Amino acid sequence: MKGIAHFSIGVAVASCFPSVVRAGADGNPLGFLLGGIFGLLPDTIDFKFTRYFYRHDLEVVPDPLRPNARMTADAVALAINRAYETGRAVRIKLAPVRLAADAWRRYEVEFDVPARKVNVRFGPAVDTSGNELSERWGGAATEAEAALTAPIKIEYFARLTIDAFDGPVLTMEPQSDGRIAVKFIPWHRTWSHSLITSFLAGLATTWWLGPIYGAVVGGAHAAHVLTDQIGYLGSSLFYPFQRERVSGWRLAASSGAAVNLVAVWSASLLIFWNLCRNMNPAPAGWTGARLALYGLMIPALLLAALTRRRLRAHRRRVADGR
Amino acid sequence: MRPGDSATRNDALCPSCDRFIGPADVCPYCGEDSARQPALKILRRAAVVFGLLGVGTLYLMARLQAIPVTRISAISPQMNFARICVAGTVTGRPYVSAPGGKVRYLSFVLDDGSGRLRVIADGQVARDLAERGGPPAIGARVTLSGSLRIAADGYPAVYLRSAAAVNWENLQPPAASGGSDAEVSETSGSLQNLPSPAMSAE
Amino acid sequence: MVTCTTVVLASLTGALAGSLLACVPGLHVYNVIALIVVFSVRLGSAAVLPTEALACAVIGLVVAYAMLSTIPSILLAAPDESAFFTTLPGQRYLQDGRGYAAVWLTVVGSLAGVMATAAGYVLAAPCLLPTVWLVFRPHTHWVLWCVIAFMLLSEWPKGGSLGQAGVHKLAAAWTSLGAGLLTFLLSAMLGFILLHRSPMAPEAAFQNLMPAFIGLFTVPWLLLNGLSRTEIPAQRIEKRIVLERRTFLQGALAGVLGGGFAAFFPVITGGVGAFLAGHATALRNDRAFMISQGAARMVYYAGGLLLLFVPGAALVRGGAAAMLRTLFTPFDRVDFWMAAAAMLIAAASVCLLARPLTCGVLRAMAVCGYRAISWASLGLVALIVFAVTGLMGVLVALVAAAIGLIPLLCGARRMNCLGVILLPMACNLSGFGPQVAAWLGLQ
Repeated sequence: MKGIAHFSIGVAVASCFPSVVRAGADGNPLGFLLGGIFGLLPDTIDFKFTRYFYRHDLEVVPDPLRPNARMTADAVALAINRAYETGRAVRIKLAPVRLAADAWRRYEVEFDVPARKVNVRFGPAVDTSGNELSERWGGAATEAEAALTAPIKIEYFARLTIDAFDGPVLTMEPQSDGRIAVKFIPWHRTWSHSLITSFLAGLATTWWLGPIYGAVVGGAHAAHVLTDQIGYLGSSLFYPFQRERVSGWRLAASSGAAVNLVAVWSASLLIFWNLCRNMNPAPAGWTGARLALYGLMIPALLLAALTRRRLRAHRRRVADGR
Repeated sequence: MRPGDSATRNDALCPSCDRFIGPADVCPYCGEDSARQPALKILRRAAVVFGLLGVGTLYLMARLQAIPVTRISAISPQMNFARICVAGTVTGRPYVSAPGGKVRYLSFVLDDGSGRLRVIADGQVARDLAERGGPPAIGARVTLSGSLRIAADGYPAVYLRSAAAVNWENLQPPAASGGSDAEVSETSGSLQNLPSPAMSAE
Repeated sequence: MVTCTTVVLASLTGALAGSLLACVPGLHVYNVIALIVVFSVRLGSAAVLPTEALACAVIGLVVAYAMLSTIPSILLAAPDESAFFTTLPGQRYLQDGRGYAAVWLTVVGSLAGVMATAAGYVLAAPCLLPTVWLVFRPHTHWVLWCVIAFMLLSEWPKGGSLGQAGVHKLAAAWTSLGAGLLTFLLSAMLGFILLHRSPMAPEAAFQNLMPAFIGLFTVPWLLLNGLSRTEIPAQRIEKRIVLERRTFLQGALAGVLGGGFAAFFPVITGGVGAFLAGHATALRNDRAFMISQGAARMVYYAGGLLLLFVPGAALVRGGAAAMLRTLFTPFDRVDFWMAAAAMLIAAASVCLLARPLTCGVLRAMAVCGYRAISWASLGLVALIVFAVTGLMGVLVALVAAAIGLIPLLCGARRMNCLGVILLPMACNLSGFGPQVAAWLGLQ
């Protein structure tokens, strides 16, 4: 989920507490602020601190002028093979390829599990948002593959795309069954995304500010953790008792526009509803059912109708061979 | 199109290895200096230094600058939102709104001989002022500073920012019920029986 | 009693004036409205124009500005990659010779914003707005605090992607983040000073923040343009711009949501609203982004102004509404419909002016060069600041310009400069603004 979805959900969690709403009406923003901040905090910790301390053993920095797919494929294969030979985890960083202020050379690393090889393809130039820029930037695609001596196990996606801003760190970790597990950005969603951390954060806040704020902090943090489970990567839900990431439920991609908009919109409706029902007197005619109908169900039906139309058009295009 | 072609500015490329480095001073690929004009580097550092010094200077100027006393007749529309200091005498009955016994709003009219002005305090400022014994009674000599507001009808009013910004003589505490110098409303908080502020003719 | 002819003529006059003024880099419509208000009050507004006509003219000005101020901001945004860490979509289009298309995409977005504003204003505002405002009214302060928190927390580190992990890598990444925080804090401090104990003369108080805004946003942009060594290629005047329906809808939705959020909640500007909506809708497409910018600006400026006319709510949002309120107070549904009509008339007429004005600015750029125009505009805004606020205002603008340069040159978000109003107003709305001012010794 994008940050704004997590933040909104955190604020919505805070709004579920009547005392927070009353305090807000009296000029105290702390409850809502804590909800939003702790709703976003797990990713803030990971992406602004943790990743800069996660050391790697190999770093691949493709040349922007002469991207070498062979070198990249060999480096990834080396990491896996070394992990297999030494029995110790090897970390490899794949750096992005920057062409201009807003242009990056996209490349893909694909793990072919049955064939035991890794393919690397350097593709088109893209902007920061991932849109292709082939009009300004040429460059033929280059491709290479490298063989692996070890069987591998994929924990995230078999094909990784590296384009804007930063590239991933992969940890090649030997497993007890002899395979090498390819772990994607292993520094992400560990202790920061644990429900134990949510509990401890709530406990600390309770000691400092009181039980209501403690519940807000713990709830907002936990909401972030559970919302992330909707995706694919998963989190170490019970770190430190269980360090492996629990795989996500794979219901939606975290960067999807629709899922983020639905999350933000639903959180906003919940906030509005909580503000309404804590008013004395509550605004006439604004019931939860009516809000759910006009605010959620009707827009959802419209969205579904629009999406179905698009899906039908897409299927027609595919069938026509376009 | 590749880095180094005309579409990409040369200043953004490393002079040694021709790779894009943007505004970086050192190439992250070959480690060479960007060798570009120092103007932007100087400007970057100057911006931080001047920003800090400038805000500091303005802060000191704001703190040390005395707020001059303004004649009510000199108030003009351009002075909307200005911080002004006014000295005069309280005329008319001051007004206090205290729904549920908690002071929320108070106001009085000030006359400095050149014109009249309404003075308003609300929220915490009103409560603080009430605790000090305010509002000032009729006839009290008052010196105050506050924020000027010009309303849609053209009448100016001064909003007090803190109770400490008001000083008055001949202090008389307002009585709690009728017959006092202040009009106190405990219910609706609406203005009642107040003299309309007669402003000076410009 | 206002007549149809008055409404039409006043709206058209405002739209025409606003369209011309929108093409001047650095000139903001609020500065112009402030001068109109002061002039009207001095003369007695009825001597200038009937107040309803004045209101329609102001609406015309605002609509024109919202739609066409993107002309200079796109065409005069030199994308110097040796100075800036990122480039905006409009700058990329300019670099590709497609600045004309970029302008039209924002104009299309503005039209979507007009339609959404009109629909929302007429259909939803009278029945929904009073209740929604009643619910949110005591809570606007924490909404603002949350916006500030999200704005600061969501900034992405730039740099620190190469090399081994460690403190130096963290430092490299945090340079831009630190610059962003510094920008926010400095601009917030500036805002506290100007709002509580302005060093400018009281006679300039009605434009207290003008030097700050000009310094924070306009001066750095024009200055860096003037110093830039980038050459802007010749721009194509495209006869046809193909726009996918999905792109249009995505951009329009994001813009309307963002602009509507900013128009409804006090202090939050159109840029912040567009930023939030862009995140919420995961906007990626350049064209959708530019459409959303146009829509957000229109909904924020025009929609915010029109909230003043909604019966039963009459919310004062934005500088234009605050200033107009000193001259004119809407009373009934006649004023409500008058405002809607004025907006639509103005929008329609401004559309017709978009092409000739864009071509005119492009011709001026071809003849004079964007650097010369930028230096001339810099001189003009300096003159305006001096004329309205005096020498102290110029000093304030210089300090603000230094602050405004930090995010541009250090890779942070320019939006952090909005700390000048966001933090002081958040404190005021929460009720402890005077206390903070007292702690700072500004009381």
